[in-house]
Amino acid sequence: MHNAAVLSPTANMTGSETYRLSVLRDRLWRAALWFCGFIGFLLPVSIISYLVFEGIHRVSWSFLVDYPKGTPLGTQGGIWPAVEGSLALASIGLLVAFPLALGGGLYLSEYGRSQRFNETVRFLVECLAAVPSIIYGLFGYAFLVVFLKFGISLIAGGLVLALIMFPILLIAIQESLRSIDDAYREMGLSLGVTRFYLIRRVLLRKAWRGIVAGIVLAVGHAVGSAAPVLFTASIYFSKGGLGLDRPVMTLPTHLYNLVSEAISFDQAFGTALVLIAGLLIFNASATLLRRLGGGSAQ
Amino acid sequence: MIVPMEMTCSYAPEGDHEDPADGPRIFDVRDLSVTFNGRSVLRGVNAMALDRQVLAIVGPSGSGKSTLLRTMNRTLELTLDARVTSGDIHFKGERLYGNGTDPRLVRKRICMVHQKPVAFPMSIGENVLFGVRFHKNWNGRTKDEIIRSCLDRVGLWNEVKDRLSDPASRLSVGQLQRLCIARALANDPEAILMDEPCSALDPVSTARIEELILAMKPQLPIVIVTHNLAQARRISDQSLFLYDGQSLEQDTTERIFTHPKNGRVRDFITGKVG
Amino acid sequence: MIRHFLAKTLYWSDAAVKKLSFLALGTGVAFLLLMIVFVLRESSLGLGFAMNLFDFLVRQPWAPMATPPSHGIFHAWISTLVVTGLSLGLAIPLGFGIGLFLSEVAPRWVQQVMQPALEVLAGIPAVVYGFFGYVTLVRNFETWFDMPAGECLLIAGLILAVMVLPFVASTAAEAFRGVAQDLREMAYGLGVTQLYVMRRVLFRKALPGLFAAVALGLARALGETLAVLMLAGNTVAVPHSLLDRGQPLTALLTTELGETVVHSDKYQALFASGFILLIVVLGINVMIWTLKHRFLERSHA
Ligand SMILES: Nc1ncnc2c1ncn2[C@@H]1O[C@H](COP(=O)(O)OP(=O)(O)OP(=O)(O)O)[C@@H](O)[C@H]1O
Ligand SMILES: [Mg+2]
Repeated sequence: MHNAAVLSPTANMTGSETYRLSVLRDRLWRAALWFCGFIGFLLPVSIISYLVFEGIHRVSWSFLVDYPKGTPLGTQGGIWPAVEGSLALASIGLLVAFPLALGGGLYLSEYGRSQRFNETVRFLVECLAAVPSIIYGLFGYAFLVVFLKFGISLIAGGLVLALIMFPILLIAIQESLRSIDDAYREMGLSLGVTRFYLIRRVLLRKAWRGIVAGIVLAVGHAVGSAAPVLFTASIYFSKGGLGLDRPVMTLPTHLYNLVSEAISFDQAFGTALVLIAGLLIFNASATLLRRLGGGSAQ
Repeated sequence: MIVPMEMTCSYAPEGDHEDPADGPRIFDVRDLSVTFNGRSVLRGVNAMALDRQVLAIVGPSGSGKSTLLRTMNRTLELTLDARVTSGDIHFKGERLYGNGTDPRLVRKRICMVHQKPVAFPMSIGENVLFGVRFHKNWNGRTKDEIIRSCLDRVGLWNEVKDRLSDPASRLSVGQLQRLCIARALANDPEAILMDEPCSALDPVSTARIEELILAMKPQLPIVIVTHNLAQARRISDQSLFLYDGQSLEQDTTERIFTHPKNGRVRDFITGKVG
Repeated sequence: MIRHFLAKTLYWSDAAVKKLSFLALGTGVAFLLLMIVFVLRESSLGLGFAMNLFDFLVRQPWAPMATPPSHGIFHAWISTLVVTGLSLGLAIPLGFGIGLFLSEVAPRWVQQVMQPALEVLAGIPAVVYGFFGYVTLVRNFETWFDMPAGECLLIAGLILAVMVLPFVASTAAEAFRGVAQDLREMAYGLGVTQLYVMRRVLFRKALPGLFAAVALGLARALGETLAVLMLAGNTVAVPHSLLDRGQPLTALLTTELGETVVHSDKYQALFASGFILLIVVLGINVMIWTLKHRFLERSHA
């Protein structure tokens, strides 16, 4: 093929007029796609840098650990009760949801023997993962706060977040178990061990990265969501200190209040930055853990 | 695969089953039928394996060799929709599919080596100990002793003794297959089943596995599925020919390969079919 | 035998784990089903609203303080429709473009930069988006368009588009990537341009996945709360233009629920609108599911 006749530009190789036109159109189209990609990159970068630029001078150690102060309350001081409340809510949610989701994921991918049952449940769970969080908030309000008389409290909010996290976690766990080659199961079980032993020694070790990714996704979702917390757990201001039966401040609802009541945009920038930075750091450390962690070296 | 119709003769019973004098039947497969999702895959298979002998199962692709092997240590039921519809397997006189037989105890006593070796996500040493840590069959040995003796038996000890705590996934495929055999041996099995153990390996590794099989033979009965007729001739004492879910003929390897009774077996062996 | 005994306990614990895991699954799923039932129950949909669904959805205004009070949600679902339509109208072309870019055009290192960038975009909480839109767009709109207060449906739709974008983009990228490589190579092997291959081969093959991307974006946009609450203006008037203020369903729920007497008519009206939202989103999900299955079947064939 490497002879000069083929490489030299002949009429056949440059193509006709229409062909050149379509090549031009192709170029334009590719340029348009690059532009789309550029926008997709520009949006997150500019939003994050705008928030950092505006918020960085507000954030300090004392902003994190102080209580809200000033008149109206919140114009001065810090956001500690909101940080504390958000952490507590997410922890309760994860503590409740994770064992349930792990059990559910294990059942669906390892124990459940009926294909039909597994698929039906999986479909249900997928539907529920798509339900907007405000609906979970409605349910939490009607069922936990009013019907069970929990009141607006940490526990009510934590349970609502657990419900929101459960399907996300379950799907992540089931997917990461399902992606393990069946040869591992066949070979492990053919040595006469129980499924639980196989799960413990082999499957969880191979699946943990996916499970961690699911946790990050679920916690990020829960920490950032304000709508369901608004009617089940949150209060404008608290003096700090946590109790299961008491309401809490959270970062997203605090930010919402600062803006919607026009209390202080300065403080709002600080709060937004803390929320975003917290989520990003959480995300990044999980990614790092997945990179460095041993176990399922392929 | 083109097979003339007049050759679909049914399984010839009894006559093929005259025991050679040297030893009792360890496996005795009687009239075994298996369905996948209602589709019949094994139909009235009869077979047997003798103590301290190698039984080779040969036959065309899809004839049910792997399925038969998987019924022999009850890993068949790991596949949803797979059912043993009739017959049973007797192992040392015990029924494998009797009521109250725990499949996991069966699998502990009868180990399986698969076609594609798989490294569990742990060190080489821990891979060997995988079953032992569950079954607790230490029998007074330390874990180092078990690792050493099992790796020694498969000829892997010298190759890996300096890196026992490395992840097993770093081994080559040939080494990994031997590790899988060591992992099975660590269970102290009473029989070993092998499903095309050499099909992923190069000739040198294949030769090592064959040596290994011959070395294990004095202690254990071994059942091996193979596509390699030369290999079956080299290592097996008995051969079973499966065709389309039926056992057409079982005899000593010598006789099957020189004077097969069944026409279809003869065609297969002389290379006319399959 | 001791060994046998040990094995027996291990078997027993396996059976226990199996039961426990089933129990866990059951608990989680039962609560989620309870949610649907409870929201329906609180709305008393079977009683009052089914009879005059038309009144509820179209005729009556939202005037809980009037005498007699009336609880219609026409303004709310119109606002939802406008905001959702606007956001998808922007996010779908751009998202498909990004999807195509990621799967067909971008060099590997660009993909490696874009993937986390989109994840960041998807990970920013809604309330932060609302805040961001407020400080960037709302204030400027007041001066640009000479509006007394800058909140309007247009801004809510714009910000919502940014929020939905990463989901549409990554689902679309997945759909394009799912098209078999040899099909692509065969097409290029005929000497045609990339645009031609995209138009004639990729789009068709990826169609079910692209539908799923749209449906996913739709479900997200419909249920989004905080951003539209902060940006759409929150008034009960029926909007007439994009620069009007409005109150999407989710914003209505959030605004009113806190100060509503439990089991009052208004409370039931709120839960009824929540239930409608729930049903719509579930319907969309059923659609995604069917598409996925049809897609799987076809790719097996
Ligand atoms: N999981 C399964 N589900 C349904 N049918 C199966 C399954 N596994 C095997 N079969 C069917 O059972 C029959 C026998 O399969 P088996 O794997 O035992 O054949 P084999 O003799 O081992 O073939 P090969 O030499 O190719 O390994 C085949 O027709 C196959 O399609
Ligand atoms: Mg096979």
